Amino acid sequence: MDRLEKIEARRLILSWKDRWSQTIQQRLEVESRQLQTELHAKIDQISFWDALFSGRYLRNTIQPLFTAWCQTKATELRAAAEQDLQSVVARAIPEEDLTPSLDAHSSKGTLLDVATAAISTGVAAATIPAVVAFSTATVSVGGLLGGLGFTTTVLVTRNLLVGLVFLVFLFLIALLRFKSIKRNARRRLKAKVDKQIIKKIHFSKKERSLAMGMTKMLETTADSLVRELRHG
Amino acid sequence: MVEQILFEVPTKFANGIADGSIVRIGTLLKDSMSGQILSHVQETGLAQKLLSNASLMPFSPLSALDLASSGYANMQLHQLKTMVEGLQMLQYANIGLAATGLGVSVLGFMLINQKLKGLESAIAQLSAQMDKHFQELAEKHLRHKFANIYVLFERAEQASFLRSPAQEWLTIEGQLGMESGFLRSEIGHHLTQNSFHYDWFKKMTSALAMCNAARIQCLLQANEMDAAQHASSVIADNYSDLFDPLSATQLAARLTEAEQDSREDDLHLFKLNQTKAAQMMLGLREMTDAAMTQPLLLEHLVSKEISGQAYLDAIKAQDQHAIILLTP
Repeated sequence: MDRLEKIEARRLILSWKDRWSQTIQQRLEVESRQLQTELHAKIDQISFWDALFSGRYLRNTIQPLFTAWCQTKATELRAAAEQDLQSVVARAIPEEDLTPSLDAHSSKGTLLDVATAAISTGVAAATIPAVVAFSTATVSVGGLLGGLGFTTTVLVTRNLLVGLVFLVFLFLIALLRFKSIKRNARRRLKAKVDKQIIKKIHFSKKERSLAMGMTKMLETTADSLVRELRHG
Repeated sequence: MVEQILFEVPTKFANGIADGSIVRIGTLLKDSMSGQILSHVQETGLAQKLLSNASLMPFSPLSALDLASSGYANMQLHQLKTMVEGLQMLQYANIGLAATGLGVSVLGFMLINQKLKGLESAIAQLSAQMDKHFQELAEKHLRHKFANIYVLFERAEQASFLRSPAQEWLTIEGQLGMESGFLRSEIGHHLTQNSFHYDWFKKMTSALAMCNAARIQCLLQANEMDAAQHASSVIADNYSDLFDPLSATQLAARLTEAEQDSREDDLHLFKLNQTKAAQMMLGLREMTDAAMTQPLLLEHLVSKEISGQAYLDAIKAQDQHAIILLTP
């Protein structure tokens, strides 16, 4: 490859990186709305016991759905970006460079290998934030007895001390509040899911989101290719 | 000889650029089908004169210029803007390019000094607002380094009055190389940090571009064409190392992380910063592309046996067009 061809190939690779970091963000933004709708629908069907133990519900029911969506989406986007990159490399490198030679580092084949290797290893790292996403998420049960100023722990210990009458009294009040328990749990869970979608999929200052993880993957891939072009 | 240098006006290729049969890569125009280099884009002394007088410069895209008022200078600015748009170089006035020139810089050394002085005080103020490393830098090194650079540009201005200036040009180029190395390493250090300071980065990058443009100018003045070509390749590689790994998304994330007391939510802030970062990335890509194609321009001059001095004289003498084309 001559100097001008290398400059053009570099530009195409950088354009690929810029284009896909934008595309990934835009697609995640649009397609995560579907995830949000699905998770909200699931939460709408929540049972009383799940509402009562919503932290466990979030971990056991919502998180697997969220994680599976992130993994599927990351794989899907990676495959699309990789396919595009292969056509970029095919366009960027002249055919004659396919001829094997001792100094064929910047041949199409080598660049395609570098591209595929970098982008494939990158996708695992990109989805890690989403996988751990909900593990720390808990929903307070304060809604159940919050109005009475009790926590769940207090409920257990006090009941033992104060006796059966008070427990029955609380139970009756709780019965009256069953509907609002479910309603409040749904509201809180939905708010939590919405917040997590923003933080874990789009952007957060504190941790790397799926979009940022995938951008990093694109950057690493483009860097490897540009280096290979330069030194090849 | 000056007479041998054939220049053309960019309008010649305007249709080809518009329909895509001609593509621009950095500062060269290429036939998109045959791959043949058609022309090298080169600014003239007139462009720098116009941009230096325009109050909006030097850190905005040329497209942001307000050309509502009348007058001859404004008409020429309008012509410059039309040419830049025709060449699809909308980032012309953004980072570096307006400060350092398209093709080979024809900016006078004293003018570079004036621009640098404006940059230095802004950089020092910004550094003091940043982390400890940059506070120390502002206090101790920055002033000292910029003072060195000013002296070098004063010497460069004076060199043209010497009877045998070649050695002086080479000495100045070597020392400017050291100073640009310092600026480059500071920019590189900043890019390793989690946060990102937009204005500081932009100004330091402009100062770096000015130093490097002046280095090439010195080598051309000394008629050291091979050395100029080699230096321009190294400069291009340095820009590629610094700026190619960046992306608008990454810069926007860093800008957002740097904002401590914002009342906006993170995602909203990130989106706002993305527009700013995208603009900056376009400027950086243009600057790197222009640097990468400069060795090809110099190679062309060598192949045509055009001396550096003759080329500089020819483009400085152009007073009709702000941008011209050097056609092989």
